[in-house]
Amino acid sequence: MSMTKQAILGEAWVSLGANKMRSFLTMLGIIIGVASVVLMLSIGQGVQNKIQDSINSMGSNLFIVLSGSASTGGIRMGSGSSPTLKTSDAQEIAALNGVVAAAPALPGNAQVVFNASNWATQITGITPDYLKVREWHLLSGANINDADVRGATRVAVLGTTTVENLFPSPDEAIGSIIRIKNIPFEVIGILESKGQSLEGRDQDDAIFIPLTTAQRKLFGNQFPDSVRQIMVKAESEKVMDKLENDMRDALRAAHHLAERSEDDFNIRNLTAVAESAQTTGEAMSLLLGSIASISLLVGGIGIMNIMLVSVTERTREIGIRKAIGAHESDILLQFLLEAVMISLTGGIVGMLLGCAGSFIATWTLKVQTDVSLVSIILSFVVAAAVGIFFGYYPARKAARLKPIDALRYQ
Amino acid sequence: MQQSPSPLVVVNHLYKQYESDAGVVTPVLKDVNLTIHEGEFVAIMGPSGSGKSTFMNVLGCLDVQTDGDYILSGQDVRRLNNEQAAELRNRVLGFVFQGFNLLPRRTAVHNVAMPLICAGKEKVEWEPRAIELLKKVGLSERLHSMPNELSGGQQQRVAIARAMANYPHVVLADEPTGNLDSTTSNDIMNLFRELNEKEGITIIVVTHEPDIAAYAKRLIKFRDGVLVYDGTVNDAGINA
Ligand SMILES: Nc1ncnc2c1ncn2[C@@H]1O[C@H](COP(=O)(O)OP(=O)(O)OP(=O)(O)O)[C@@H](O)[C@H]1O
Ligand SMILES: [Mg+2]
Repeated sequence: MSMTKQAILGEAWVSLGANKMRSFLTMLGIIIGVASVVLMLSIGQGVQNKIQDSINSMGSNLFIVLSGSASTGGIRMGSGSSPTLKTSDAQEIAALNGVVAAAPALPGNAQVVFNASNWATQITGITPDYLKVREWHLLSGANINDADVRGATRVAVLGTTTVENLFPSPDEAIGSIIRIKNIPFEVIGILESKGQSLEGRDQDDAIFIPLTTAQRKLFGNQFPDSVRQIMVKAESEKVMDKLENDMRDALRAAHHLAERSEDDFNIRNLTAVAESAQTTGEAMSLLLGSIASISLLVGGIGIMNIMLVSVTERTREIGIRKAIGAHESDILLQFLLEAVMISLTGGIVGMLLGCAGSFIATWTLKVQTDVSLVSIILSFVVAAAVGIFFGYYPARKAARLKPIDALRYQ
Repeated sequence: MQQSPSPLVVVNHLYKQYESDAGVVTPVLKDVNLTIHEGEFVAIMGPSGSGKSTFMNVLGCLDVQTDGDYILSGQDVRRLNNEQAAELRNRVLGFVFQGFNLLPRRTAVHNVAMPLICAGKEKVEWEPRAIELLKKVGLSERLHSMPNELSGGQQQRVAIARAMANYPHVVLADEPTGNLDSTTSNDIMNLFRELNEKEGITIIVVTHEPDIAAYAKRLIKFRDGVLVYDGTVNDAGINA
């Protein structure tokens, strides 16, 4: 017959209480370890969430085809520098298998004026497909439609940042007339907020106008049909590799490029870019987590150290209890329990501190940190495991002491 | 002298030697033969270093002999595993040490109850028993005192109460009065005598002092690890 669970718990409690300062300092190692694990995981998760949000804001299964790299007389210009893509190229691509939509766009920068306020922003000429491909919805008002593109009307759809910077109150925006390069445009719609792009640009700092209006009236040049980019949405991720080749072939044919000349356009697979950004985020989380784990490991070694000291100090006491008839298993359990009580209490306090720390980090680091349930459960389990792992050796040492050796110990 | 016939302790050709880490062998007990029956009161005497404590440790299952047999309460002690030896110490044996050896930071009641707690008894069982024993040894006023709040004599009473807690068959006491003055020593020895006479508990006491040994009925003497005398206290010429 061995001791009751309450009795073992009571013995462990008496022993921990006998050395409160030491128990607390040992606990501190675990507190710091668990708190930093929780904090670092929450920051890592926050960064990953941010990346994921940017990816989601982009739309899925996307290509962006950029005009550029036309070699004129041996001089290569930068990507997108000379418009080599045309509206008709978008139609070519749209006809390919596996394409949901191909939306041409002509972006440029300009100063925008409304009454006394003015704001420099990106103006993009688009077709109605563009916002669909980007999965970008209206907050209020109307979208640019086919008639607008056909008639090159002077209407504009605004991002929220632009609205905030031009209008004293957003309610005024729709129906107002703004001036872009001194040309009046009627504001017909406001877009939902998209937040930051992967490169960290504010996507809401934008104005969209009909493509034809941009081509003919705003960014007019010697090539009236030119566009700078075509956003292409594929049916699924599976078709993307094949589609990339098909697009290249179709564009090269349309541009009458000789067999050995280079592409005068650039195809970027945005899904692949997103995946690599995600991998970077995960690697960062892992790095933060492993650094924090080291402090937890150090805390665990602290427990082992103190438990070994405690076993040595209490050798005589263990001897007395063995003489009285205590079982090895009871003594083992008691010392193990002491280690686990330290590590688990440290785990709980550390977790609370970690949550508080991540709350503070949200303010100071401007990253919306995310304490996941998984990291809370994980820190509990790990704290308990640390206690058992590092407590086991000292506990076994105590349990295996020979009664006569323990009693004789000075 | 009335003795129950069942032998409690049987020791046959018992040897004990210590071997140091350097391999030096020190023989201590040499060919000890002894039988002790239930209800006896035995005193063990002998010069310092003659092996009394070594013998008591073997009797108490705290240490194991090098050779020979030791049968306690019908069980061959050498064949027991650690858990069985712990059970035996808990249920058959009670210990009283020269240095009291109470557990620090626990009240007198808690200390006395320790053998019962180790045996898995609940508080409702051990608390009344511990209080009853502390009353019996005259400490009803100090139930909740910590060991460091008690005098040596009081601590030894607590230790005796603890040795009695789980109704042992035999109480082993190695110089229980070694740290006490003569008045207190006599009180302690009267307590042992009472336990022996009223409750029939076998008592084995190691002592250097003839007047302490005089409380016993049987006397055993060691010299250089050899049992040199085994007889009544009176025959040895010791008077209380
Ligand atoms: N752990 C040990 N290792 C080596 N030798 C030991 C050990 N314990 C005791 N001895 C030796 O065994 C002999 C007997 O010691 P023991 O403690 O049994 O004597 P004792 O009769 O109890 O003496 P005392 O009256 O002084 O208490 C001594 O010579 C001692 O040095
Ligand atoms: Mg001795």
